[in-house]
Amino acid sequence: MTDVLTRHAVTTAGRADGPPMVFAHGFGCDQTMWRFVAPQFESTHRVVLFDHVGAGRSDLAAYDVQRHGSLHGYAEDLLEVCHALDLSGAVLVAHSVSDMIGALAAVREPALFSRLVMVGPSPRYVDDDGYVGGFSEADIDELLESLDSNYLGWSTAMAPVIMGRPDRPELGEELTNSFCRTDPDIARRFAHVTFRSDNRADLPALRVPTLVLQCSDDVIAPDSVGTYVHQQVPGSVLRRLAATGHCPNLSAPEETVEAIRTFLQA
Amino acid sequence: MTASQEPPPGAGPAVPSSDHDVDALYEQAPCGYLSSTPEGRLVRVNETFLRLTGYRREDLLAGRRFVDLLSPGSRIYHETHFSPLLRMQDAVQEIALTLVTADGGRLPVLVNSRVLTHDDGTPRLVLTSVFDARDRRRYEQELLAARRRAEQATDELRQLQQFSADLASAADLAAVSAVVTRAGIQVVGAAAAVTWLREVDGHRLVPVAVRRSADDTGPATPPEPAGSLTLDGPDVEAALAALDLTALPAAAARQAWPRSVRLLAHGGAGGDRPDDDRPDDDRADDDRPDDRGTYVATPLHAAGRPLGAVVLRFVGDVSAARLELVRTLARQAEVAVARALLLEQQRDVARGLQRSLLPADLPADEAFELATVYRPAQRAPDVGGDWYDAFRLEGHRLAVVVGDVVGRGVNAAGVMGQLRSAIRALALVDAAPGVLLEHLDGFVDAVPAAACATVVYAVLDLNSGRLTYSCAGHPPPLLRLADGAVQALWDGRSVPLGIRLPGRRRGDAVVDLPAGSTLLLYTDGLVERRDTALDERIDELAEELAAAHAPTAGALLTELADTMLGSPTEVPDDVCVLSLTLTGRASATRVPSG
Repeated sequence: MTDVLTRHAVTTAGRADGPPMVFAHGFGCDQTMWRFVAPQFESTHRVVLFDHVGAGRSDLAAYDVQRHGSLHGYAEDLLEVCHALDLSGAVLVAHSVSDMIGALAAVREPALFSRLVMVGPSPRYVDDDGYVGGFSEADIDELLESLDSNYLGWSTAMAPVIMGRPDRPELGEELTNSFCRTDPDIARRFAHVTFRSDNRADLPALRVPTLVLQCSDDVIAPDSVGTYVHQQVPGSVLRRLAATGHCPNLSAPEETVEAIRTFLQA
Repeated sequence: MTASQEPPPGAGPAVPSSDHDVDALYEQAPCGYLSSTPEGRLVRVNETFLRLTGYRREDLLAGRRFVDLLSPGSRIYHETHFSPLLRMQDAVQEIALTLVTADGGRLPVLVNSRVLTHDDGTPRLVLTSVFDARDRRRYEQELLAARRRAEQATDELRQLQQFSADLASAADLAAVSAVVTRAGIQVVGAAAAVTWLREVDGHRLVPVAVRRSADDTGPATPPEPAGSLTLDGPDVEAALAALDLTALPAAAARQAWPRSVRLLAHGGAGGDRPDDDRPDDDRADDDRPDDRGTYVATPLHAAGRPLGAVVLRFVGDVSAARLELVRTLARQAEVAVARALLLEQQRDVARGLQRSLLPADLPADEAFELATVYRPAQRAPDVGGDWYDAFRLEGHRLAVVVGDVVGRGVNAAGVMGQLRSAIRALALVDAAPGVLLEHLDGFVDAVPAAACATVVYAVLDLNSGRLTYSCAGHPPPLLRLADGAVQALWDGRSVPLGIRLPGRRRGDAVVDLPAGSTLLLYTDGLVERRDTALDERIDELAEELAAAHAPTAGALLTELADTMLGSPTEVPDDVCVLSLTLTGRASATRVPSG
């Protein structure tokens, strides 16, 4: 089981005996994107953070083209992390594509989760008949090109030094752009999987109490999409934030924390 | 405009003070320059930016956000990478994004941003510089394309090396064909591939290997392995001679290639059947609208003769580079084919030699049943040094022999043949088994390569059932009685041939063979095993012989050999077994003894 924890660079904090709260980062970043939100729950919860395979300090070698060619593979990873830590009834706070990953995991093993918080969810990004996802196929192609043109913090020459050197803590100093760092190939594939997925049909099967946090002016997950998710997930709660953009956990952490707390107390 | 002032000390040559004006420096900066709120709303933009993008200042400052000016793909990137980074780091450098200009066009840019904070650390203003990166983007795309091409070339090279390795380990023509066809799909990228080879008599071309790519939806290639063409000799030559390495679309291939070659491509499936007697022209009109493929056919030559062909069907056009690749594959394949042919020839010679050295017919009689098993070691193309023999002698007697010459290969086979003949010749002189073997020692003087051969020579008197035998260094024969009891015949033993021990003669032993009993002669290949003592194995053989039940002597031997050897496909050493069973019936031709 140590294998799974290393594979996903799992970090835990807060009350060891507290109710578990798992944070799942979204596309483009790693677990440090929760740095303004997660610590706020350490006094009440056992806080668990992890990196998806391919992001942050996860084991890049564990990336599998077949398994990670679908969000189900990522969902299985999440379930393995939960099992490795012996969690049950956890609160899952997810962002962006992890909202759907979390939904898939919660549908498969509902006993593992007591609550699901979806920040900026979208079950499908590409427009379809009678559905506005917000983007066209051509837009997604353009995104993939952007990924090709940007290598944030990634250098193959440096990679062996950066990855997996727990014996050299002086190298642990955060490098610029480190939290967006990933292998360009993996980034491309993850983008493909994320932005070409369609999980609309999975939403009605979700039975875990769910909170949808919708930002104003989120170009990735617009209001109509958040509303759609809320309508499709039975018994879900929709909360509109004053925060703008796609990452309220970074741009408006207090509002985000408050919204989560309110939901947990309800 | 202010009056000229003295430039500050250390400021370099005199510059008109208007150009020191901070506003001018800002507006005319060599890059676009924006200021925005932490939420992204534009609050100030410079002239350069307006010139780059064609927007009007008043439109941009009316609540537009920087992210709104980006193309949809860049917008996603901005929200998932750029913006979070700015939250975490206070600055980002050299981010490649695409702006949408006022006229709807695309402008590739490089962006640096920096966050100014309040005293308490909360963000207050974001400064962004925007560089026109059209040339750089073009250059990058060329680099990317070049890298992809290089990766592709490396891939191709690796596949070619794998192909060469696979060819090198292909032991026969079928294996070579399979490797070639697979390479046609995997290395060259054909949708379907067929390797045709000529049969030995030269009159038939057979599709030896057929393969289609996993997603191929084109017309069916000939079903493997059946579905061959019978072309007369000259037709085969003509067909293969007509092939050169060009790529033809299906329709053109139908027109340009003679019937025989068309049949190669379509292989008798669909409208072109080998037994279709219609004249060429009629058949050429057969419409196969589903066939939009491009065909490439290249002949395979060996020893200067056309031996076969590889026919590939592609989806779409075939570039000159791909044709070159096919040519490379074909040339390598020809070398492999030539080698495989040579190996097969050698094997044929060996098999022929083997066949000629073993007795063509075994004596037949009502009184006994003879059966043999001969399994040469699986090391082609060698022949082995084991043999068996059985022949009649005067006075209603039967001689049986099993022997084992040292070594393998053609030399050993030659020696074995000579020994066999020598034994037969000496037997005519009516020597007792021990004496015969002593004469063979003299033979070994003349044929040194026969030294250390082992032989068991036995003569059965068919009237009395008495067996006289002598064993020169050979494993002991086994005798199974009618009730199933088995004994090893350890008597009459002496050293292998060619070794004379002073004072020692080769003797005989005698045993009676009752009706229903079976005598088993064998070579050490049947019992020898690296990890087990010979004695133990002989005991094992005796047990198996006791336990074996089979309807015929031949079936019994086969069962015995299978059991003793384990896997029938792995024979590390030659195995030669002969069994002689007394039926108890009278001979058809009973000859008085004497």
